Amino acid sequence: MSFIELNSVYKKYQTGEVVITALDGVTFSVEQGELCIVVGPSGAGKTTVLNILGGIDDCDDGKVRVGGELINNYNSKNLAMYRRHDVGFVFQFYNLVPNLTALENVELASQISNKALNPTRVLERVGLGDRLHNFPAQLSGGEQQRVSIARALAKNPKLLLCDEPTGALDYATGKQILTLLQETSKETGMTVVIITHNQALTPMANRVISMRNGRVQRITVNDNPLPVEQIEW
Amino acid sequence: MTRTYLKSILRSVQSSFSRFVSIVLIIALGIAFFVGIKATAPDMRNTAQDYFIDCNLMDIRVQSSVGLTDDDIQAIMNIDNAIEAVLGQKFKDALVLVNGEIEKDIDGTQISTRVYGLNTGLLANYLNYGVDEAVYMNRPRLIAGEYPDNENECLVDASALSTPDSYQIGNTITLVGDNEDLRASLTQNEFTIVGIIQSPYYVSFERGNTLIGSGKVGTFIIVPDTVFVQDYYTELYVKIAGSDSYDPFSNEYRNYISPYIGMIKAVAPARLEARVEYLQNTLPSKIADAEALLNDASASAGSQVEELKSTIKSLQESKTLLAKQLAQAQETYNVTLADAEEELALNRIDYDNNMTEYNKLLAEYQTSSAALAEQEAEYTKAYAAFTTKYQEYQKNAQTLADAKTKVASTERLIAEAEGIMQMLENRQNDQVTSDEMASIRDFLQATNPDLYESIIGSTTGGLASEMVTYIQPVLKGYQQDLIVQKAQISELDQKLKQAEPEIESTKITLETTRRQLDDATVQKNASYNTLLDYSTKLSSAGADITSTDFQLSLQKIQTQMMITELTNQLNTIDTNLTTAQAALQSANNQISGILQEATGSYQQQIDNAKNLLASLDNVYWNIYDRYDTPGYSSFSSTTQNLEVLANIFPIFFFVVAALVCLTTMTRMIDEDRTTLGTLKALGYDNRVIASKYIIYSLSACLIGCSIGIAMGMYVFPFAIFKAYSIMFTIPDLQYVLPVGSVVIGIVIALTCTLVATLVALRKDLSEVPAMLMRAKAPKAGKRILLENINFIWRKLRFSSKVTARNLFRNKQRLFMTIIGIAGCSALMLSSLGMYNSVSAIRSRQYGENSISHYDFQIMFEDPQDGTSGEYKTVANSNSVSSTLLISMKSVTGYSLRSDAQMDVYLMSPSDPSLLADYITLQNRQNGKMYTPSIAGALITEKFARDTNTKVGDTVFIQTSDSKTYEIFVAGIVENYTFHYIYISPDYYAEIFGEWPAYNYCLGNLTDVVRASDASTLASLKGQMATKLMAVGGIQAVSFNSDVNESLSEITDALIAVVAVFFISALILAFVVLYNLTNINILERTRELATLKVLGFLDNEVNSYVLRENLILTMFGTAFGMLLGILLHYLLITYAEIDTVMFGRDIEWYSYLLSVVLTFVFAAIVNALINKKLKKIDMVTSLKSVE
Repeated sequence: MSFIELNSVYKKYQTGEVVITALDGVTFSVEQGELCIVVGPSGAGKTTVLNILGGIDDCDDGKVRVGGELINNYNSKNLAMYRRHDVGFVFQFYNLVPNLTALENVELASQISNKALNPTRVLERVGLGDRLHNFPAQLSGGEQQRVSIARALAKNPKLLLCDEPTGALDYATGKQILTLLQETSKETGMTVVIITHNQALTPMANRVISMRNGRVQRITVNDNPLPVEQIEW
Repeated sequence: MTRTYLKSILRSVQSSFSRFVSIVLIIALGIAFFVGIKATAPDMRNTAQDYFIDCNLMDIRVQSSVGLTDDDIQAIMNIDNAIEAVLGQKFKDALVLVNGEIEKDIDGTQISTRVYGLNTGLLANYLNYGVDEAVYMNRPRLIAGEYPDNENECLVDASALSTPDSYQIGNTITLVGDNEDLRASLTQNEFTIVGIIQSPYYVSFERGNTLIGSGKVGTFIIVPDTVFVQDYYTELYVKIAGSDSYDPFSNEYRNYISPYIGMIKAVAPARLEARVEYLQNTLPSKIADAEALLNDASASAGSQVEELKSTIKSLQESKTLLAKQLAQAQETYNVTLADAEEELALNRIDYDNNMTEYNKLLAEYQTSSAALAEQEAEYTKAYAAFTTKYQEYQKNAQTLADAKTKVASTERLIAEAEGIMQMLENRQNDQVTSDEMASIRDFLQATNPDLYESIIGSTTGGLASEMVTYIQPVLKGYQQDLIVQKAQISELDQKLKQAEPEIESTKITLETTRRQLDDATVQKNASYNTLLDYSTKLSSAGADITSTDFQLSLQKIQTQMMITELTNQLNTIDTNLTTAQAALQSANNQISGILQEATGSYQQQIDNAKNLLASLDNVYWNIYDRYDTPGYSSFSSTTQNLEVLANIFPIFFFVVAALVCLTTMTRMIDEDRTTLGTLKALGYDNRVIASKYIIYSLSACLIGCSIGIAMGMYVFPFAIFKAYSIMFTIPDLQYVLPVGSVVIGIVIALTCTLVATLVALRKDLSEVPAMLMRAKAPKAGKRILLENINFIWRKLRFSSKVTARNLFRNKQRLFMTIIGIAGCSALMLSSLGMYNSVSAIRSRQYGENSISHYDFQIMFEDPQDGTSGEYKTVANSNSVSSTLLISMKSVTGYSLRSDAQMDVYLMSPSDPSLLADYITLQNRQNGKMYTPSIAGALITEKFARDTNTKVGDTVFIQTSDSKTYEIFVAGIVENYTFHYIYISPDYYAEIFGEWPAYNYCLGNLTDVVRASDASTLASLKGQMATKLMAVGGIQAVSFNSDVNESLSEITDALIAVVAVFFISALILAFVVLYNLTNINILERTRELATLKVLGFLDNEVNSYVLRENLILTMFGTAFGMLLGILLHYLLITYAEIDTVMFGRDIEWYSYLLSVVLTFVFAAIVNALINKKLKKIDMVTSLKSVE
């Protein structure tokens, strides 16, 4: 059994009189420890997939299984506990609490998780050992994203979900961040799902799920992913 | 500005309706409060001014010690053309009797009523022809009823506080003089109340001073001036042309009037001289006339007295006679009754004895008769049994006889047969002869008919043997029969022989019984006869009884009739006696009454004239302006106090409203940041972009202003004046749009809103569009001061650190929330504190451990010496434990340090060392206890404050005879109602040159009475009051508990004002808390959504926010308490009314309540916010920064 299994998942949004079908029967699976990239143009439904996987949104139909658990049946409290212990979330806009220092932002997550890692050490691991006591405003975008990743990793989750992690970053910084994610996946065996619209990133992944118009167009399994350094875009 | 742009403004109103409404509401609240409170004082003053103009209130009042005349009026009119009119007014002060008792005021003193004369001619002109004459001044304003038509009708005062409850239309009031005969002044002393009026002369419940009663005028009535006996005016009212155009409470008005006062003063000496000369010429002859009348009256009264005395004598004689008759009748009555009763008793005994005997005999007869009947029945039964047996015996005897007959016949047949047989014997085969045949045939025909029929009959002969065969069986049969029959006979014979002796013996027994019974019957009959005899005897005895009975009844009726007659006689005698006694009593009373009636009026006239004559060496005019009319200055100062309030309170509302506006607009502009950038990029210039927000906020502000002004200008003046209306009697409030405050209010509101909008816009508009369109850089985190204090910071939990830093992240919001909450809790605390202060008036003055802790106060008609008289009666009362004589009179107190002129009671205890048992004299601030001494007087706190007096200063008092004295102040004591100067007798003597006249006493009830339950206590007090009031010379008994009760009318009015403020504060508190918290949440939606994504549970997110609110509320409340204390101080200083002092302290529960209420509101707001938190969509965390 795969670590992540999506089976005929549907999701519709009603905005006013218009019904938008965000997911139109999405089925795919991701194996434990894989780095998976979900790629597609805007409106393809990749963010919705991420939201459903992260337990911050629900689907209208279909089955979502993470680590063998059917999460689409969870109530709001179970979902909160799922988010707390099993999922790490990396946002496009970092979403750091502005008046907490880097360390405190990580602590914000680690204090509620039951198997949390040492926040200082996690920050050292993402290369921010010397910026522990800086506020987000005192950090560059890439550094903020590292704090964000550290905050996700500190909870020691089974699943790391990243929503356009390089979307707000320049090329070089973006590359560093992706490297960090790739290494994390490799070193810790953590399953990482990255959402991006950038087709060029796909060689770095074990598995690439291409989406368009709410459907999975193609699933590519890549046995020999390229290190990020070798990818250009 | 394009149409599209206008549309976008409208859309933004639509899309953020609740935000728009919140601005409208907060502005409405702020301006309603501002305009409402601001409008109240002007409304009250405008209403009063119109009232004064309408009722033509005089400008100047002139009083003279010797009365004023038409010549004086002319003289004043001649002074200056601007003196438009002068009206002569007569009045007389009197006491009021209702149901034979003198009406008392709330402080327990007698109500003195000022009786004003109403110029009926002027009234008629005004009413019937609508002539608005300037000379018709101080016009009464009719509230209910009608104007008087007759001399015995009057109008009464409308003020609820000063007018006794008995002053209702249709009631009759009786006026009596205070130790004087009113007939010398008024031709009538009974008046029917026909109307209730307000007078512009009396705007408040104060009524001024008088020389009679307690020294205070309690209320007034207006009667036609024709009832006044006096030929001069008591005072003159002067109207100055053009005075109506001034605000009557302004300095301009006072300055306008004051020159005329000087002018009138200037003519006074000449007028007084003329008046004195006239009086000196006329009074002696008046006195002589009156004395002549007095003598005549005395003489005629004397003859009346003689007449009455003879009536009394004859009545007493008839009383003696009747008493004798009564005694006789009673004796007769008693003897007859005794005789009749004795006979009655004897007859009854006889009757009872006979009755007993008769009953005994009857019972005996009935018993024996019954026994006989029983025996008879037994005999009959035995006889019947015997008869049955005897009949059986006779039957058996008959049967025996029959059987014997049968045997004989059978033997005869047998013999016959044997004969035939012998005949036939041995002739076996021989033919029988025909004879033989015949005899055989006969025999057989008789004995065996069957055989005979069948054989023999037809046989003419036969063989003998054959014949034997025929005869043989027959013989045998007979022979057998004979045996049976013989056995039968012997059996029967046996039976009969056996039965015979029994029958014989029974027969004998029965015969004996029969004889016995016959004897008994004879005896019974004899006994019956005896009974008959007894019966006859009893009948006669019964007849005897009946007749006795009848006689007895007859006697009874006769006796009864006699008794009735006697009783009637007795009653008649009694009635006559009572009538005689009453006549005697009234005759006795009449003797003094007739004398008083006949001479009192003349005596009073003589006294009055003599007094006037005596005062002629010291004559003066007093000239007053309106400020000397009772209540005028307190009305003025009340409205001034209200204006002060209007300047303090609304500031809070505006500050808070401005803060809320600023927060709201900042938030709105932050949300629109991108739009702002886009518009800028599209080429709109700053002014156009700003105009959207300015239009948005200003339109909200203007709508809020309109609502607020419309509500505020009615609600607040209405509520506040309603509360004051208990003290001020002016017509219903006229609501005038307070243009000044409206303009100021709108300008402030618009400025606040505009500034708030511009401040919010300033930063964003100065940035370049690209910057605006980019996500706003999150506000940089900062270290807070607390982090430098390492030992505290390290000990804090992570969540506390977050909260601490969050608190200081947005300083603007921090301060706003704290100020908002502080403002609201300050308003609450100060309102509750006001409530405490107002309540303290009663509780500190009259409650437990209070200042006036004596139980009652008694007013005497004449001064007491403390060793005899009415005072002793009071002191010796059962329920009274101790008493203290005091002297008390009403004076006007003032000092040279302020303008205040106050009604003050000058009180002097006969023994200052005992005063502490009745009144606590203590300085409120330093707790020092005082006793009045020669060193100086003690004055009450409010009087000291209003006259700006410190210990060691002097104050002045003016007594009702207009003399002024200076008094040294040795101490200032706590006191809440009225004003007092406590002065020792020796210091009194030093100042006045005479010892005080002790006209009051204070007293305490015994502990037993005090300890009884409320209803018992009330009835005990009632009994005591009734008993004491019945004592001549005691004019009033008043209990502190009743005074306390009456005071509630004033305090409740003030509490109502406080309630208006409190409710406003509550509304404000809620709006502010909700608004600020709501914005706080909206600003942090993204952060809160992120927390949720991180796996925070709903309640964890709540507490993350709640902690901050809680701390802000705590700080706000603490700050608010300080602010509230300050506000409370300002309020009680400026809002006080003249006669009372507010309590200075805020009770602990007011602090508690305002803190708790603030937190309760915070909790409610949090509950509402929690719902919003739950609704925050986590997906928002993924969106780009707005």
